[in-house]
Amino acid sequence: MVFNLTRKISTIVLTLALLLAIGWGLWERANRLTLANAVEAGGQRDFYNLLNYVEQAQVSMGKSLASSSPRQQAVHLTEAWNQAAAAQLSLSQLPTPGIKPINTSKFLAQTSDYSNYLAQKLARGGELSSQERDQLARLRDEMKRLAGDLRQTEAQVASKGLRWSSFYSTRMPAPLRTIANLAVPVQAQPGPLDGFVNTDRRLQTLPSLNYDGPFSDHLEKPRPLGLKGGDVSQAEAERRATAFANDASNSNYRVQATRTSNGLLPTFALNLLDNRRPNVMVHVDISKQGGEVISLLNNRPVGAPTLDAAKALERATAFLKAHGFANMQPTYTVRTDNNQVITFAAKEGDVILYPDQVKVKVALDNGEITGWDATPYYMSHHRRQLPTPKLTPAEARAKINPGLKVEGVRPALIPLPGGIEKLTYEVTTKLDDTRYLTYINAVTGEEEKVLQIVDVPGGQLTM
Amino acid sequence: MDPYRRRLIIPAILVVILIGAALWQFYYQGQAPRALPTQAGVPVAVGDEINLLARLIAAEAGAEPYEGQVAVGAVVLNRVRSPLFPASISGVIYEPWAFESVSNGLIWQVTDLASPTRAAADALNGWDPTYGALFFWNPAKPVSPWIWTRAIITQIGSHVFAR
Repeated sequence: MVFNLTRKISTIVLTLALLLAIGWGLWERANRLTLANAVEAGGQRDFYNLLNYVEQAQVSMGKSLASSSPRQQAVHLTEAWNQAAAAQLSLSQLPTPGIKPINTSKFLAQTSDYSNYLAQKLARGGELSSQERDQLARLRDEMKRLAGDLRQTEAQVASKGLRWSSFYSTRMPAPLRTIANLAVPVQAQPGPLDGFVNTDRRLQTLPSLNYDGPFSDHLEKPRPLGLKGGDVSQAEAERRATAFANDASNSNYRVQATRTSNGLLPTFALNLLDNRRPNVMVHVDISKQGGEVISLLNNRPVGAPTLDAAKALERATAFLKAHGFANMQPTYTVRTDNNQVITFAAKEGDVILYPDQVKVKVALDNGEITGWDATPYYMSHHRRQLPTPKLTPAEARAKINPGLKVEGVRPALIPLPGGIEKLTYEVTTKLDDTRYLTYINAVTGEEEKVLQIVDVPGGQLTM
Repeated sequence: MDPYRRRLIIPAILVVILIGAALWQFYYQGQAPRALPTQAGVPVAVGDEINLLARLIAAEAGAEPYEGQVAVGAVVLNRVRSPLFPASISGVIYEPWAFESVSNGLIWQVTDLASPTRAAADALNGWDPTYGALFFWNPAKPVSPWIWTRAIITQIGSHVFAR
């Protein structure tokens, strides 16, 4: 009797538990499907955006080739610039696991950048050379083929052969997978992303594209221009790093570890430990060629400030002078946490050389130099043949839109996309409460560039 | 032990597991919103994107040496400037499968942002201990074999950096 009752109870409990488990499973499944649909929608959106933008870009590039008026050409190239850039963004957000279509991405970015370069050239009154037209036609043909490939993938997407959300599922544990494979053997099928892989492989073989823009192939591996002499030994690098760090912190360091680094600027990378303060560590990079101090970073958290920005600037200038950078102009300063980061540019006579920059970070609690970055300086500093200006500062000033209030004019060498440098007059202007820097070419009088000063908390230009 | 008691063991365990699972589920769901990104306590120094960058650094390299943290930030910024990757910090960080911590949600759970925020500021101010790296990975973990075809620059802490 008692036995029967407990048996009944256990059956009821078991049934309830089973129902609960099933209900819970169904609820989880419903949640998963909602999320999967959202992910699928995102993937579909990115894919159709990609297809659309590639087709539009192809059409815009074709129109610019067909048009005979430079103004119309510039309009279509500007469209192609935006459309190719949008296509690259959509491609990068597409979930394609295991493959990274970097060549497709590069092709889209370069085409976008190249269209922009040509549009700018036309806007300045230039004309497309026959080489540039050929180049553009070649890129248009590639864009057309890409659109064709994507349309094929689209057929797959439309017939549900390709589901973006399926790439997010967690893999089954290996033993279960083996059992599943025994039950239903997997047949070798073309993967859903093979189209992408083939397209990407084809785009890898494109000839290199050289022009005056940031994504030009000739800029992919810049060489440091500011390093001279032969390679230094590791012992010499360690000696120089320790001396530099000792001076920066007014303390005493010992080498903890040294490794080598083969980036764009090959260096010995050293970790130094402070002999006087526990847990203070400094990281210093010494260039292999010439043994120059490229970078220093101190990991110390900085306490409440006792110095102001002016004192920090004084300290940084003195430190630069002590290390052979006598003629440097502070151009920008920003306060992050309790550190003042000051950007200096080299000067040749009274011309500011904006490419040759050194950044110095000063801790505002005790004036210690906690950061140094001379990478831009050593990448670009070399003996230059500066052209003789044909304009006077007053003439440059006269080129400015009369609605703007001019606050200052000074000569400056500025870097432009494509690794080009131009001698200009930097005119600081103010419109309402916003400041602008306008760069007037000192030889041709053309306006090269306008910069808007974006106010960030703690950041300011130093004049 | 009585035979019927023995028979009760399995349903009892089932019930315990189920209640446990349900509790865990609700606890987890209750916790999740609290772990969502908050800007409290993170000073905005260079731009709005410093928060995003600091969070990624904390999730990817929270236990790495300081220059390893700056290096991870620099890789993100090098990608922004490269034609192979999207042209914005958020585009680079949220590229599918670009960073493990975004795929597994660790980026939303990090709490110690003091050192990563300083590292993010240094990276945004131009420091790059890798001199142009575009990729990094932990050689102790399984990674796509494709990644080893890139030119290796150096190793900082437990991460290998490459172009």
